[in-house]
Amino acid sequence: MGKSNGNVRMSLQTLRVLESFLENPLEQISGADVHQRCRIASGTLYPILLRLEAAGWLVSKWENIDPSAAGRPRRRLYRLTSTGLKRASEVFASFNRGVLA
Amino acid sequence: MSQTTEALIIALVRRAARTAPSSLSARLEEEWLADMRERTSGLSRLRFAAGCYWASLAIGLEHRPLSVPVASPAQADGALVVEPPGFFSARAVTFGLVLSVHAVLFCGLMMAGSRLFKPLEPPALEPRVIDQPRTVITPPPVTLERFLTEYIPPSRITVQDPPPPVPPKGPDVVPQEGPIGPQDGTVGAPPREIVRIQGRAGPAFPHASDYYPDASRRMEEQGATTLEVCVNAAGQLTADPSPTESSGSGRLDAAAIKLAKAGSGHYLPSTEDGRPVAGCYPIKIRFQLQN
Repeated sequence: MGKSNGNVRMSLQTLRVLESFLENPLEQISGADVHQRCRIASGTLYPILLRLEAAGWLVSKWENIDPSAAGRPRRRLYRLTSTGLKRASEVFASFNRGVLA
Repeated sequence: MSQTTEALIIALVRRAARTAPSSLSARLEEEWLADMRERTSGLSRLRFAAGCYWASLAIGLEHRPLSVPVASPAQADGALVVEPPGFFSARAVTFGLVLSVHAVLFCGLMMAGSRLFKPLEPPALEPRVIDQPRTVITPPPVTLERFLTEYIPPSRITVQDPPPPVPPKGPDVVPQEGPIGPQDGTVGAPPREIVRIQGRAGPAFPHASDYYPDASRRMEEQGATTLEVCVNAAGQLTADPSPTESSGSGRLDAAAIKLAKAGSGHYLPSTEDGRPVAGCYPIKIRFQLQN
C-alpha cells in the first residue's frame, strides 16, 4: 500500500479531500465537515481520511468537550500536518505543471 | 424522524463500526455517531449508515488488527497504527472477493434457471393410419405428332402397252390379206395393270414439334401445309419441296418446308409392283398445339 512511507495513491476523491483541507490548512475539521465541502459519500470518505492519517498527511484528535454535558458524542477532528501540507501542495503544483507527482 | 428509525440507524452505525478492525471500532463508532448527527434528514442518515458499512469493509482490508498492546497510549487515543502491508494487497483481495461473489451468483442463477426452465422436448410422434380411398391418376393419352403427316392411300393406275409399230407402206409393199396385227396371230395384248403405291414419310421422319415456330406457339397458330416432294428410290429428295396448299400461316409453311428438307433420306419412296421408284407425291404436314 505504501502508506507508511508517506506515499498515497492519488484519486479524484483523495484530491477533493485534500483540497477541502487546503482551504484553511490550520483548521481542524471533522468528517462531517469534509462531507459538506466535497460531497463525498461516507463509504469513500472515511477510508481516505484514515489512509491520509496513516501516511502522515493528516493528524486527528478528539474534540475537547464533555459528551455528557454537550449531549452528543465527541467529534473526531482532522488537521493537515506540515508533511501533509507540503506534499499536498506539491501534488497540486504538479497539476499546474501538467505532471502528476 | 421516528425514534424507531433513529434507533435503527444508530444500530447500523454501531454494527458497521464493529465490523472494522477491533483497534478502530471504538473510535469509528464514536466518530461516526457524532458525524451522523450532523445529517439532518432521515434518508441522509440512512445513506450515511450504509456508507459506514462499506467504509468499515474497506478499512478492514487496509488495516489489520493491531499487534500493539491494548493499553498502549496511541490506541487509547484512537490513533491509527499501521502495520506493514501483507502478501496480498487490499485491491487484490477486494478484486478476489468481488470475483467470488459474482461466481457464486452466476452458479446460483444457473442452477435456479436449470430447475425453473426445463428444455422443451419435442412431442412424441404417433403413427396414425388414415383410411382414404387412393386416387388413381390416369395419365392423359399420348399424341404423337410424328403421325400428323397424313397418309394418302395409294392409287391404282392402269397403264396400256403402246400399240405395235405400223410397218411403213412403200410402193414395193404388197398389202396382205388378213387382219392387221401381230404375226403370231394375236389381236393385241390386253392393258396391263401396274400397282403403284405412293410414297410417304418414313418412321424416322423428324418430329413436327421440333420445327414448330416459337412465335406460332405463342400466337397459338395451327394448321396443315401440303407439300409436293420428289424423292428417289432411296427416299432422298431430288428437288426442293414446293407447297401446294398453304396452312394460312407463312411461318407454318416455312417450317413445313424446313421439316420436309430435314426429312430427306427418311421418306418411303413410291413403289410400282413392289419396286421403289423415284417420283413425286404430296405430303401433308400438320402443326397442332398440344395441351
